[in-house]
Amino acid sequence: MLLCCAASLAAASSSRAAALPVGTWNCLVYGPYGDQRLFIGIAEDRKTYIARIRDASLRRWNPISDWRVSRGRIRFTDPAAGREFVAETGQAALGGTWRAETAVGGWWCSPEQGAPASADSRPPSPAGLMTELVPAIMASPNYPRQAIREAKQGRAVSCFIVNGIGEVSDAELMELSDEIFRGPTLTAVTQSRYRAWGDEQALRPACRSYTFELDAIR
Amino acid sequence: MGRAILSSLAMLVAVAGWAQSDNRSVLGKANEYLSAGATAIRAGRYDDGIRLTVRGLEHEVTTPYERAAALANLCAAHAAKGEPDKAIERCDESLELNGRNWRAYSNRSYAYYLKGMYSEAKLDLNAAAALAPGARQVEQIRGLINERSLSPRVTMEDRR
Repeated sequence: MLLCCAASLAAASSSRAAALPVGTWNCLVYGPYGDQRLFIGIAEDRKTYIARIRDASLRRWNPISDWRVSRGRIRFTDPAAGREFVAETGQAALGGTWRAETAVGGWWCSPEQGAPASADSRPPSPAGLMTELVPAIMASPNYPRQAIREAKQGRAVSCFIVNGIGEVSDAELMELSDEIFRGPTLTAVTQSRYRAWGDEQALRPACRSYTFELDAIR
Repeated sequence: MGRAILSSLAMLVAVAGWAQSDNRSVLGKANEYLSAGATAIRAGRYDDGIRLTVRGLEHEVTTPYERAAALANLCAAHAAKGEPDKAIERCDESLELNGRNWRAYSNRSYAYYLKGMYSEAKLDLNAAAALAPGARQVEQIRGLINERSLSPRVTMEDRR
């Protein structure tokens, strides 16, 4: 049974990766004004829908712009928030950057079970957005010795998927100020764990930012 | 001219055991002791190098430029022996004779580093870097100073 499910999940994941990201996504949108969780529905008819916690409680999708794909990137706009979302297509997870008139940020989504988004369908239960991810092991990156020698400071943001038993997978770097911080950041993320909150198939997106700073010793 | 370039080669290279593989030296017979002293320092034989260089400074006829280079060699040798005070003294004398010798600044920077005087070390290192942009020794010393004088801190923020 487990083998069967694992195989079908892998197949689903691979078909998602190969195709356009049509489906329902559980998303984390982060930026300078805080973080937000919402569902994004990408329908086959090029419509895009969004459901924040309140919308999901009312079991309704809010239509936003149509989505379009060019040069391997999908784009759509949420007019209410004034944000344009951009993501690479063909990946197991969906996420990238968003840009508004005065701010930029990132977003990261895990695939959500349920009916494909459409004008007639309903978003998943808001419980999927409200489960809090509680860190169990917060691995801290090593500050690379070469970066200290070269007095390099910087920042990295990594997004990843957390399954229901708290394991981290599919870590990607959304921001990276210098390549020297890539290795320590990804190592720290993959060594981290969250408290279990569901079964292995339940997936949640999460992101973590790291700021690498050097203080003068007096 | 050739001698001057050559004797300055031995300088800082010796300081932290950085072996000088460059063998461009063409030392004249006139400065036999200084030449032998530079070679000894370059080879890591600091006591011999110091003795020979001091003898050369006492007995050989040198130009101020050559004296400055020889004093900078002494500075390097003392720094390499872990005698920063003596090293600084020699580098000071060297820089009085030739204020444009980046190796003397670099050597003195290393001596200050040994004493934990990182601000002074950085000032000298900047002077060396201004005279010899991209010099490998300068960057190596800068790395050593940064390792001692900077404390790393990583701040994490969960986005959830």
